[in-house]
Amino acid sequence: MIEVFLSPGDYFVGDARHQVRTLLGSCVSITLWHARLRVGAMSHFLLARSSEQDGAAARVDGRYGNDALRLMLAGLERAGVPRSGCSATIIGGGNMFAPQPGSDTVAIGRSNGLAARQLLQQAGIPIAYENLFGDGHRQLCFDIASGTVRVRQLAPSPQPDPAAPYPFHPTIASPPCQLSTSLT
Amino acid sequence: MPALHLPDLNVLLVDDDSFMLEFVTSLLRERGIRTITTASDGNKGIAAYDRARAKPNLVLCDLHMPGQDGFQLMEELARRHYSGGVILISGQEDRTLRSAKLMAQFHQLNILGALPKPVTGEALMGALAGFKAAQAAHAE
Repeated sequence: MIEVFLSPGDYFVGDARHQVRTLLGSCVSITLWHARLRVGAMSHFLLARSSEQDGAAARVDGRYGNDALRLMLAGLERAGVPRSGCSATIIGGGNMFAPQPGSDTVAIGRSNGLAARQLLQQAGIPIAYENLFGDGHRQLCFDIASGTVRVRQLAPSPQPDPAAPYPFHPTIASPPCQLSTSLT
Repeated sequence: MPALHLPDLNVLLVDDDSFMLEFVTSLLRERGIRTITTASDGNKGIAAYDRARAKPNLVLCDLHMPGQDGFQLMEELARRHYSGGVILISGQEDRTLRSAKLMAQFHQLNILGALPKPVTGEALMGALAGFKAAQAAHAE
């Protein structure tokens, strides 16, 4: 088993040997998984979409949700994985702070989650499971061999304990994301 | 001087990374801050400062930028006797941030924090809490 940790702005495409982890606040991860080929991809983006005009000079940047999805799909295509057989999950988009009086801005986390849904819909990829919004951080682990997505949501206060042990506590089940109460 | 509330802040944000400009602006707007001016390097940042009728009371600046970098921007701010808060941002190692912080203190700038990239909302709000505390202390 090869463990991969994604920092904000990273994405990863890999096969059944890999387990991909990350820690999310207002950021969102999309996972893509092809059940028959046992190949998957995962992103960790910070903002919904680039406001820059599309064009040859525009840099594709995994920190944006639209670019991260493009990068994952291109990586899967290079690996010979058709998007038509993939299903997706969306995780994250938490509120990290109490709403600010006087702010009429859509929270970054909500904006990211809504954008992820729209991007996947536009790409024609079904969403098998989502765990979005609410308060605080989430630990996410995506096991590509099984397609399992495990999420543990951490209350915003006190601050998350980085040494907190597994197991995760998934909240919603929807195939093909098999849920378990423990990694052991 | 009355204590400021976050929405009252007038922010100058200087970074050559367009993503960072957009991301930090989103974080600030989420906290209700409306008056945000952005610039993509130190030259444009100091020009924006000079142009502004109401001077910023918070400057967030990246250290490494083409043209005039964050170190030079701090010198220019000190030359203008800027008395507001400064938050430094850098993708470089901690040592660079520490050096910049020392330099800013040498220029008697009010350094609120030195944040590594990628900037998180928590880190930014922690630095802003320091600003509010300093304002409150100043008001007493």
